[in-house]
Amino acid sequence: MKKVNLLASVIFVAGLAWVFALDDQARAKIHGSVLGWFTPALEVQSALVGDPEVAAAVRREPVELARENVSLKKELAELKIFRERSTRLELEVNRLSSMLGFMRRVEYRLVPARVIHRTTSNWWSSLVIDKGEKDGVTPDLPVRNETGIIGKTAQVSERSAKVLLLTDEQCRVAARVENSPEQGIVMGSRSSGDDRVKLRMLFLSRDAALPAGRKVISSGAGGVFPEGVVLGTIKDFVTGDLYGEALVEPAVDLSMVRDLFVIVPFPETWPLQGQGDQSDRQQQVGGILRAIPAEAGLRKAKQAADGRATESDDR
Amino acid sequence: MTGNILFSIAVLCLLVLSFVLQEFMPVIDWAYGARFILPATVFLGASVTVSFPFMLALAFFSGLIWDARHLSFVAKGSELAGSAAGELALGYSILLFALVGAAMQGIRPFFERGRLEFPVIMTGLMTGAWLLMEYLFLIFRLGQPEFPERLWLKIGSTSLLALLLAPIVLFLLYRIARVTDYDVHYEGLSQNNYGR
Repeated sequence: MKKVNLLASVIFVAGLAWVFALDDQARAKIHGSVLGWFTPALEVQSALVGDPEVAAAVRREPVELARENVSLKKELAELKIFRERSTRLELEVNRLSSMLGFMRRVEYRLVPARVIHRTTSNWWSSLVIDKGEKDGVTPDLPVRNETGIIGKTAQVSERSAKVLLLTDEQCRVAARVENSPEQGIVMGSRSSGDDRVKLRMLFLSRDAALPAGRKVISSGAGGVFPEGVVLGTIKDFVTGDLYGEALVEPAVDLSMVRDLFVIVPFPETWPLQGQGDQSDRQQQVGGILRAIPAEAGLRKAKQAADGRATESDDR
Repeated sequence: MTGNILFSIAVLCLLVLSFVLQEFMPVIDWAYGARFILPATVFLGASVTVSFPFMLALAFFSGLIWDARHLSFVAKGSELAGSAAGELALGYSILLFALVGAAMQGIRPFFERGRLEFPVIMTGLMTGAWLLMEYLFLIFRLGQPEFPERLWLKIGSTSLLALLLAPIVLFLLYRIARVTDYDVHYEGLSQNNYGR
């Protein structure tokens, strides 16, 4: 072997060892940077392909579109009222929960995003969305649409983020079966070389015998995915040696996803300035679901109790 | 020397371009989910035209960018239990690219003698070998040794696509070599003395 080749091999092996030894932070930076470099190309590709919804709308009659517009406006008004009511109720529940000393609930907001690219690697697929670090998106955040959970964010660049789909076995969700005490872990399978989408719900009781058609929803255990979001429907149940396993059909058609929401938690420093500021907060978050930190609620409850005690002492 | 440097820069640019164009490559459903894998084909084509050290440098660059673009990053400290299981480590493609690149280096003498068919066939074969090794890495990490028929069909059809693309890539490299005055010993074909 020539000396120069030997030297090149040694440098190559050293470089490879350096890459394998990178810590999480460095790996995240490399992933994010490379995604950032490719984002303009992804945006161009997305622009070239165009929006199929817009293309379909162009072919429709104006009268039909106007009717649909009126109907949607009506629905939007109803949803606004419902959202206000829902937010008020949630604030009330959280206030009472915090007074009772229940655990703090995670605050979050929904960041709307659009799919700009469907990455198809050799053995798995993922989505790239048009929201990134500048919109508050970070790795490991749940992603959903109006139908159910889609997946979670993986690498994030400044203007885009990669979404690991629910059908990927890296994306595991703690779940429970509706109207049943059964709980388990839902995960996908990407390496079978088969494009058919399938989910498996593992660690169920052997004698669960869950019927087809039952809904599988997230349990909230683990704290990443919110509780109560639909994951899919049971298609089949198999009894294994140690535990039962259900085959689940995803609720969301992942090949058709275009618009979605990233669930972004509020930072710990989210200000809480008393009961009177709740309306301000509602406005700030645009009526998006959130809750009062339990510690703050407890503090307020104690202050109120202390105040009452002082008053009675005075009397 | 100048030709060597210019050719190296041009090959690197071609590789970068192939990564960008890859984003526009659709999956061919009727071909069992196969697609043109431009960076791999360009890398394999370039491997027979460059020196061993530069091939290793190209393998490092291609493997790192490929992994960073296509692997999903999941932090080890993620809240999701066992979420890192089954994921390939960043950098594994560097090793795979280096292995297939080294195999391509082995047929440089054929290329220098103008036997273009060998690099073309080897590009197809090495694309298949690369995919198979990647799949083996994956199932080893997952602990699920499955070899469905569809897997072989996908690898086969992707290799065939690489085989179709390889002559174009090799022709491009030849043109770049001529422009940059880089000697790839391609005179065999022009003199019509195959194998001599």
